[in-house]
This record gives sequence, structure tokens and C-alpha cells, in this order.
Amino acid sequence: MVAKAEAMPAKCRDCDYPNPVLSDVLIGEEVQPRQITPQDRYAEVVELESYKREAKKDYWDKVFDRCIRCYACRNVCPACDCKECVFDQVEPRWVSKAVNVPENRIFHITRALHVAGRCVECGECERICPMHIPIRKLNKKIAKDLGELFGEQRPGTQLDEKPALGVFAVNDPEEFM
Amino acid sequence: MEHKVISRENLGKWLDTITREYDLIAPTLDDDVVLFKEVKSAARVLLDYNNTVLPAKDHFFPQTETVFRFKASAGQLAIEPEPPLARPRVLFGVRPCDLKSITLLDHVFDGDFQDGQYLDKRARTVLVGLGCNSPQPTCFCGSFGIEPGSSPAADLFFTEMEGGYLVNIQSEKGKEALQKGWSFFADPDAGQVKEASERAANAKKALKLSVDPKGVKEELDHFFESPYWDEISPKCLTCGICTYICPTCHCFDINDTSGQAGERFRCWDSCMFTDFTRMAGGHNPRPTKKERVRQRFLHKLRYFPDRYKEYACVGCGRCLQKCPVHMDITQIISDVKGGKLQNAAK
Amino acid sequence: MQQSSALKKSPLIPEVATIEKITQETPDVKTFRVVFDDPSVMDGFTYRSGQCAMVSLPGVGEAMISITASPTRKGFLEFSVKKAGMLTGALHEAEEGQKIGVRGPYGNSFPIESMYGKDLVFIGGGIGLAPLRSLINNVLDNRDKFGAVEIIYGARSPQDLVFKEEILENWSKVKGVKVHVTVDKGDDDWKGPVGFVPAFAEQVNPSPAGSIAITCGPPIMIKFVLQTLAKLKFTPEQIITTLEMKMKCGVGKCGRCNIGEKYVCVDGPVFTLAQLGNMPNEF
Repeated sequence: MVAKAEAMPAKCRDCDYPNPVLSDVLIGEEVQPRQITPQDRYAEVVELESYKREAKKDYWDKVFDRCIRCYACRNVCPACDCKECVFDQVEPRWVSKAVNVPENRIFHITRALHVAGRCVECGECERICPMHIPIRKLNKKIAKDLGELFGEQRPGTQLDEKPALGVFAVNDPEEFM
Repeated sequence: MEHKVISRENLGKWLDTITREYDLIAPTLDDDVVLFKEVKSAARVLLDYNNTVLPAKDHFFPQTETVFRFKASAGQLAIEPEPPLARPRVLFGVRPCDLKSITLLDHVFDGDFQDGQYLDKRARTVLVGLGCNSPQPTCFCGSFGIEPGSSPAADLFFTEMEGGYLVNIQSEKGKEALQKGWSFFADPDAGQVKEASERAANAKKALKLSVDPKGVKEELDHFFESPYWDEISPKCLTCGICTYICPTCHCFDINDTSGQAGERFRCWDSCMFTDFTRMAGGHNPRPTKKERVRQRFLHKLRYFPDRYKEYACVGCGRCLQKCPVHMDITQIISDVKGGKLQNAAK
Repeated sequence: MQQSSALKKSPLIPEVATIEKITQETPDVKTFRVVFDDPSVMDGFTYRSGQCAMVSLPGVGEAMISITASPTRKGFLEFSVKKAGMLTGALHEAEEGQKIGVRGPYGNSFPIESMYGKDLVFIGGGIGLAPLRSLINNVLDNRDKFGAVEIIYGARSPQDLVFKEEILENWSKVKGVKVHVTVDKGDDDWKGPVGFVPAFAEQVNPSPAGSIAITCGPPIMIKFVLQTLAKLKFTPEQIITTLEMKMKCGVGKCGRCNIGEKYVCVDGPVFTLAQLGNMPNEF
């Protein structure tokens, strides 16, 4: 026998939406959601943010070096819904099929940014990654940044909420302009 | 066969000794992922592991490999083939399933149009096998005639015992590598040889999962068309996990870096991907999951045996462990044997 | 595998060759006459009609292209290339004197020995005449070994007919050779037949007795030509065609051009209709 907590993937241990946010019929009892503070939620991200620039690069280069570009993280993602993914396009090929740190980095950053504001943090990408790449950290970093820029959102929990990057508001921060 | 024994402590010393003349590639930890990587010191070699996440194929048929470098200028084109290995290598700790898979890759790369780059790595690598004393629940190597405790494909084969290892010397190339640290090895007594063979026998008994592939190819010859393929394929994500972690999958792509000077490289490719068979005009003979899932299993169980007289599966169980949707080749083999393709066709 | 040997060359490395001559056949087809820089490579490059070669522009890529030259005419290779993808597009930008890479020859070939003494019916469409041209010139250079030759060819428009001069000036003047050319849609200057190749071939009505039909063209044309030939009572053993699949290595290893257990790059591209009938329908 294995204890439930041990068998649980990491993504389930810090899940604060144990009940479906939308259902016609709910089977079973509602589960009392765990209270997770923003500090806890982004603890790993905050730690990474404290690294010096080079140390950050070393951290990500090391894990991206392991990536085999099987694209399982993309294919399992409920937010990935392009008819033809940019990584599958051949003419022209936007990202080389060579598997190495620079190309893998482009893949991971593009994937994470493309689901920015739409990632529901189901964590399937990280759960199925055969190479144990901490993909949720990337997703959370972006969620945290979006929260700081546009106000905290939990994509997938409010039917009428528009994703931060899907709408324009005159008071949007435009530091780059 | 010639046998030697080596203590656990001396194994480290021998491995450190050979790094003077060989590149040592061995199972090691990358965070919590076990991979075959080049290690500079025996201290980094992991001895207590079930199997590596990626098979050893990466070291003969790398995921990305330069074929040649080119330089083009007005009216000129220079092509510089990738040089051979600078040093011979010792690939330590390969399990019998992966050892067998290398002999299957040999059929592909050592057949017609011999692949020089692969053969160079093969010829200059000492394969050191390590017996599996405790197979995992997903292991089914025995179903393909592979013994978890021995392998004819290795140059040297190690079996873990109380306090050390028994070593089978299986080739001259292997013996030569052993002799770099001959003093670390001792002659075994009869009890030690017996202990090793008992361990191997016990490992075989410990295999829980088994299927019988006999006749599967012949059955599949009749069922390219079967609703069975429609039944099993919808859940597939068409990601590349199964093909990339498979020790026998060997499909590849060839691409150039752009520009006047650069390189042509080959890299692993996957029959699961849309662009694998899609032609320049847009036509794709394998447009949906159904054709791609069918291709993968027929390649392993029908086309490869047609060409090379052996199944392209070694029962390592990696796909069973890692497939996100639990596509199970043992189940498919059982279904074929159980007449499910025939029944589905009715 | 135990022996250590000198590094064998990778079969994926091309030989350097020079584009000696470029002929604009149609608005989107050019014929490249190519000679290997190393004369011993040129002499050693022995091929048969129907075989292909990997043509590469380093920095762009490679493509498998049928050799349209005839092995009876030595000292050069010819490739007729339709602009379709990245590589063929870049080839169309090439100039005479440019260096390219070529490796091969690859694949099986037309079974020319089995055609000795037979009447031959060639049915081509568009750029599909390229592989047939190798065999046609091979046959014409060994004219006495074969019976009557009937060449049925068509293209979308008069501008899309390839090898125009050769067809009209050379082939049609050889004794025992009949040439029939059609276009899908004519123009003001076109005085010849108008209509699709399959229906046109039916009008030409070649006899199956002692004949072999060889067809090559776009897949949709081949599909209907096969129906026409069946109507004309050609048996599957009498019909030969070529297949096209995406290829990368050309040497039976990279795993994508298989149809069942047959790799089109090494076991094809030439198949009889009888052989195709035994292969899975996945091309």
C-alpha cells in the first residue's frame, strides 16, 4: 500500500480547485478546498527570481538540455488548440528540428508564452514529461507576472472573464511604448 | 567463457582507470532522471537503478548528429564529413533489453548502404552489460527471448553479487578494456560462478509480465485494414514519447542549418508527427492518428520482421511506463493473438 | 561488429557537382544538366532508367528527384524539376555554373529487359514525363530490341508541355514511334487535341497484345489512366507505374516512405500494378 499523498503528482498536492468549477451534476461530496496563499502558490517562482541572471540561465539550460522535444507537453495541453502548431510547420521551419539548448529554450518559452493567461494550471504538461522538466514553474512564472501586470486571474474558473492577453484596456501597462 | 570477479570498491577504481584511455558513458543522475551520459569519474556512475529513461541508442544514433559541414561560395562548394570518434568508448551498465536493441539497430545501419557514422561508434565502443536482478513490473524482455541476467551482445557482462560483480568476458575488445585494470579483478571460485547464475535464473523467474509474440507478424499480415485500429487510436496524443524512449525506434529526419556555411544534421523523428510523411504539395499518406498508430505497431511487429526476421521490440517496458495514455504494446500483442483484429473486422 | 575499421563514408554525404546547363521547359519546370566535379565519380555513377538521386543545395536541403537523362548517354545527369517546395524553389533560382550536391543512384528501375521484343505504351502527364523520358531515350537508343512505341503525353496547357522540342523533333521522327500529345485546355495557337490524358489514351486505343504500358504523372491522372488501361484489357502485370512518397535518407533507413514493408526509396519507385495490388492502400 502507498499513502495517497505519496502517490499524488505534485500538481495535485498544491491544487486549490479540487471541485469542478462548472458541472450540471456533481458526483459525490464537494471537497473542502485547501487554502493556498499567493506566497505558497508562487514560492518556487519567487525563489528562482531571487537567483542572479547567470544562475537563472544555468538552471533553465540544465533542464532544457534534457528535453527530447517529444511535444507531449504541448499535445496534452488543453490550451494548445492551434490548427497547425508553429513547431510543426516545415516551409518555413521556424524552429530547427535540431535538439539542443537554444532550440529547446525557444520551444519552451514560446509554448509557455502562448498559453499565457489561458493556462488553467492542470499541470498535465509536467506530469507526463518523461524527462521531468519543471514545466509548471515556467507556467507559474508567467501567471505571476500577468497577475502583477493586469491583476490576479485564475483562468478557467470564471465563465465571463476574458484572458488578460485577450483583451485591451486603456489602462494596460505599456512600459515598452 | 572466461570469468573474473571484482569488488564494488575496485569497480570504481577500474572505471576511473579506463577513463584515461576511453570515454566512459554510464548511467548517471541528471536531477532525478537516470540517463546514459559521459562521466569523468566513477563517483558519478549510478549502480543502483532499474533502467535509464532514455535507452543507450543515443550514443550510437544521437538525437541530433552532424553529418557534414559545408561551405558554399561563388562557384565553390566544400563538404567536410564529421570526423570519427576521437577516443574509444566504454558504455557501462547496459541492460540486456537495450543490448539486444543495439543488435536490432545493427540490421538497419549495418545493412545495405552501411552507415559509417553509426558503425564507427559501434566498432569503437566496448559494450558492458549489467544484469537485471530485479525486473520491474513493466519488464517483459523474456517474451522476446531475452534473458534479464545475460546477453550475448555485450563485450563484458557484469552480474551483481554479494559484495561485488561476476564478469563474463565475451570478446577480445572487452578483455582489452578489462586489462587496463587487470589487477582489480580476481579469479572467481566455483561458488561465485554458481551464485551469479542463480541470480540470473531468479531474475528470469521474477519477470511478471509476459506475452507470446509467436505468429503475431503472420496474423498482422492480414489485418492492415481492421476497425481495431480505429478503436485503439483515438486516445493517442501523437506525441513522440514512445518513439523517442524506444530503444529500437530509429526513424530520423535530415535538415540543414540555413546559410552559406553550416551543417547538415540528422535528428530523431517520429512516425507520430504530422510532418513525418506530409509531402511538399500537402498530401499526407498517414493523415490521422489511426494511420500513425498503426504504422508504429506494424513497423515493430510486421514490417521490421519482414525485412530483418526479428521483432523490433525488446520488452524494456519504457513505453508502458511513460505513455501518457497507457497505450500498451503487450495488450496489442494479446489482442492480435486473441483474434481481436479479426473479430473487429467482422 | 568487433573489428575496428577505417571510417566508412556516411551514405548521406553527397558528391559535389556542377550545374552545366539549365533549360526552362515550362513556367515552373526547369531541366538541369549536371556533371560531377570528380571525373571518377561521374564514371562510377552507373544508373538505370527509373532510378533517382538526392539533389541537394547545402543550406536549403535535399530532395529525391528522378534522373531524366538516359544511361545510354554518358558523361552527365539531367534532372527536370518542378517548383514545389523549398529545395525545388531554391534550385529554380540557381544559375549555370553553380555547385550542388548529388548522391545516388537510388531505388529500383524500370524492368527494361522484360520489355525486350514488346510493344511499349508510355502514358505521361505533366512533369511525370521526366522519369519516362529516361526510359524512352534508352529504348530509342536500343531501337531494335523493342517493338512499336506509342507515346501518349498531356499537360494542363500548351505552355506546360515539357521536352517539347525532343518530343516533336526527335521522338516523333523515329521509325515505329507514334507520339500523341494533348492538353487539358488549349489556346489560340494550339491546333492539337484537347482533353484529359486518361480519356485521350482511350481514344488512342493502344492494343494490350504483347504490350507493356508505363505510366507516370500526377496521382489523380495515374488513378484514371489505370482505369482506362483496365478497360483496354491491359492486365495488372502489363502496367508499370512509379510512386512518390516523402523521402529523407533515400537508403531505406529513415522510416517514412514505406508502404507496408516496402520502402519506396529502395524497393521502388517502380512497381507493376500487380505489385501495388498486394500493398496496403497507404500512399
